[in-house]
Amino acid sequence: MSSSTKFLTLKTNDKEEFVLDEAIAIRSQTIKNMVEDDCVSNVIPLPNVDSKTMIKVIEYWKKHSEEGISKDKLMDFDKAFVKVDQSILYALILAANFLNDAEMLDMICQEVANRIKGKTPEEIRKEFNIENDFTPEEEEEIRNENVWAFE
Amino acid sequence: MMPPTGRECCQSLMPDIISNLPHNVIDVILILLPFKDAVRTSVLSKKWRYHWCRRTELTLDESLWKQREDLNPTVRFREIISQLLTLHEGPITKFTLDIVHLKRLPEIDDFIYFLRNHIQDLVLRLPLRKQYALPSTLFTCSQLRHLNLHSCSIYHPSAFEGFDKLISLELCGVSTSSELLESLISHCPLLEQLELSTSEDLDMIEINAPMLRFFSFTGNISSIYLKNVPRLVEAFLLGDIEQTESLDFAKIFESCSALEQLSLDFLSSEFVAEEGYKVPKRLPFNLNVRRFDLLDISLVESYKLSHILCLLRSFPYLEYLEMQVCSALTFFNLI
Repeated sequence: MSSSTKFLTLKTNDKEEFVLDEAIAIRSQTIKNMVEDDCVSNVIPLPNVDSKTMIKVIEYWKKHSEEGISKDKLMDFDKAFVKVDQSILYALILAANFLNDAEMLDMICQEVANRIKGKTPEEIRKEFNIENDFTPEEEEEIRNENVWAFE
Repeated sequence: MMPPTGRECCQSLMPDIISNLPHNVIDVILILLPFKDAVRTSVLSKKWRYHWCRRTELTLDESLWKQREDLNPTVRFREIISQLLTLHEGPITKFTLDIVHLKRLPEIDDFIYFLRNHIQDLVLRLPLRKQYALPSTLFTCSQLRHLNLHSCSIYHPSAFEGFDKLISLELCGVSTSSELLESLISHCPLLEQLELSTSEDLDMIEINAPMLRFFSFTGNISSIYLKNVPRLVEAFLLGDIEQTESLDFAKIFESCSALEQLSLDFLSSEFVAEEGYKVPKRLPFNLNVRRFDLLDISLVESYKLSHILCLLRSFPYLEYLEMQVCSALTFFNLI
């Protein structure tokens, strides 16, 4: 590591501090903007992210910043990375959204999309605990509106 | 309506978080789903009712209706389009229509009108051999960055101001005139990638595209004149030559000072010429070509070979040559 490497301290909402190479941290557009606007003092607060999620985010950033890593290796990493419970997946989505890391957000949203794809509405509701608040008549009406999509 | 008690006792402790994700996140998830799956989310719950209508990228292809054979696909297609026109809200920036196998042509003019203000990436693959005449509205889609048209016809709009943002243009089996093509290309100041494929006999097309980096052409090669392409790096030319005399590489490559890669495929053209015709020994200038790929070349035909030699003599910096010799089916690689 060269002596010119700059470090940032990120503080999550449960008061944990993470010291991270600036070059890696600016994968977050939110942090990048703060650095560029020179509004970084010593510690960058991340009020919307907890430490458990931040550990995962940093793990992802570090892997994706590795020099010379092959696309296949990254794909394997991503695949394993999203094999987690829904609650962790949501926390990661919200973190990626707050940190404004479009690449990471897309990757995790793709996993959510994969869990929706090809399922019937009933199966999706079950998988994601979505309560059907339509009356049977209302539901029928929507299905008729887009018959082609429900065949 | 059934009382909800039965449902509730089966629910796990996991709350419904997905429905409460920020709208921009839901939009990302919906874009990553096939269109049909995205539309189906409308029935999940009241919160999900209209989310799909904000989708900015749409792909309509035959997978949407091939499952029900009793319905005329063209009718089905019209149904979907009118549904979209009614329900969709917000901009559509990317639209792909792939209906090459439809027997009858559906009307899509209204839809193009609907897209015109926001569309950036438009792909229209229309039924083969029907040559749908695209409306002039197409030329008012000023946000276009990528335009890809297959099997249709375009005609000259009276007041075309150009596609200021267009980066890539692909026209395949599109009926048009040389005049329109020239005007279209020269009115796209940022154009970097151009692919033309035509079986029509066109007059000479002058290509004036100062930012062009990649050019691919399939058709009558002698109708191409790369007039102003100072940044062109890679060119791919494939096609027949009817009259050898009309093939003038000096004119074709006149402004290609940056050209580094060239692929040529003359197909099976005979290369006939009148008696006394002589292929020039070399071009009047050198080109910086580093890589030259020759497909389907037969080493016995003299005119064709003479043209190839003329080019080779003008490529002093050539590093890689690949020839696919068609008669003997052997490959020569010279590195």
